[in-house]
Amino acid sequence: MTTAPLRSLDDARVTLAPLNFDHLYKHFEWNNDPELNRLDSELPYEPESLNAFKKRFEQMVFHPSSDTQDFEVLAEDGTLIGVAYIGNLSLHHRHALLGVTIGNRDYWGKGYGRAALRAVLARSFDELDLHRVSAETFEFNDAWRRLVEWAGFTKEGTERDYLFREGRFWNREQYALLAREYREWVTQNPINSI
Amino acid sequence: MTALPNAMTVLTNDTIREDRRIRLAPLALRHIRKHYAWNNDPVLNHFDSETPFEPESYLSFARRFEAIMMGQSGTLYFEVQLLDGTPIGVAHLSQLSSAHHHASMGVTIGERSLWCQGYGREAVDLMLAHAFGVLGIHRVSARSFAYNAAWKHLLETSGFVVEGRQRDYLFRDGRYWDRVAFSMLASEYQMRSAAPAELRAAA
Repeated sequence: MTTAPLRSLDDARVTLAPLNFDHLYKHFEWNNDPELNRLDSELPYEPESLNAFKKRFEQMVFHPSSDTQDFEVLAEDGTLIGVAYIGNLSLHHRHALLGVTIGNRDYWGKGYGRAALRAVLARSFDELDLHRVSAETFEFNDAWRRLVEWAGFTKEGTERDYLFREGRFWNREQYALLAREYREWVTQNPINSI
Repeated sequence: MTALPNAMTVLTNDTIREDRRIRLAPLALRHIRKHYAWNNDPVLNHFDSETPFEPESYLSFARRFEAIMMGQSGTLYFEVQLLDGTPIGVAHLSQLSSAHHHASMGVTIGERSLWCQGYGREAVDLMLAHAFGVLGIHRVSARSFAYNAAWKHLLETSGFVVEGRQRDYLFRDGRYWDRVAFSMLASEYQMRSAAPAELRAAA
């Protein structure tokens, strides 16, 4: 992975950058936010000590696993507003699983999620030359589902009763976008149409 | 809702489930040569592994096998054995989650001379009995590469429901293939168990 910040190819509002260890406390805050956990994590919410998180974060920053790329999402003025990842990455099968979390609530509902997803898709298809990216959405996460549907993802399946939360089971929905569908979508959704 | 039993307590039972011709047992170190042979069989790899086939050294395999035996992987591995103790294949429950009561299941009859004789079906039945009956799991999923007709047929006729199709998931033999996602819920397993085996076989 390059260490210089990656300029989003198609939305100047958002930049993807490698995880920065100086931002430990911001990441720790989001990591321990129960509402973010509910929306983007399969693990049941449990507060984590700073020490434990620091150890994990050190691994992610300095010894990342070869099948995951984690990013910071920076707003136009450089403010750290969220995180994104390309996981389950296989350069052999040319597929990956991706996700975006805008951790800073002041930036919700303003198109930053879209811009970040665009940037992650550009990295996946234009730079990593992937053939397929998938995304998973919990049944109750309407914002993330709307986002991937906006980006042209196709719903491929529903994992019934996948998640147990708040005393009941919820489905998880499987979405994917193939490279040719992405190229088509980009021509139909140029940047100034956002 | 009961918590999942600790994996090690399950694995200390010598015979986990016994059926007519086969049983599930913990992985046995004395069978490591057999596991190594299956691990390095390109035909098995073609059907059950996403990792492109590459011969693995015995030393490298032995390290992985030991780690698996130590239970460090978050996955329950079993040997599929004939009743005389001969290992004929492997089975696993992975992505076990005690919070969500779900798991993913796989079965491989490694002994290819025994294919097409119903051992895979018996192994799946034992695995389902273990997952739903013993571990109290709510949902068992399974996946099949689109070209693995035998495994797909086995899942469909064992009562699994197709939940989705991951398009172009796998690159193999110069082209992309879909992966089909299946699952069975505990309620469906109960219904299935209520029906006589002859009816299930006829379905």
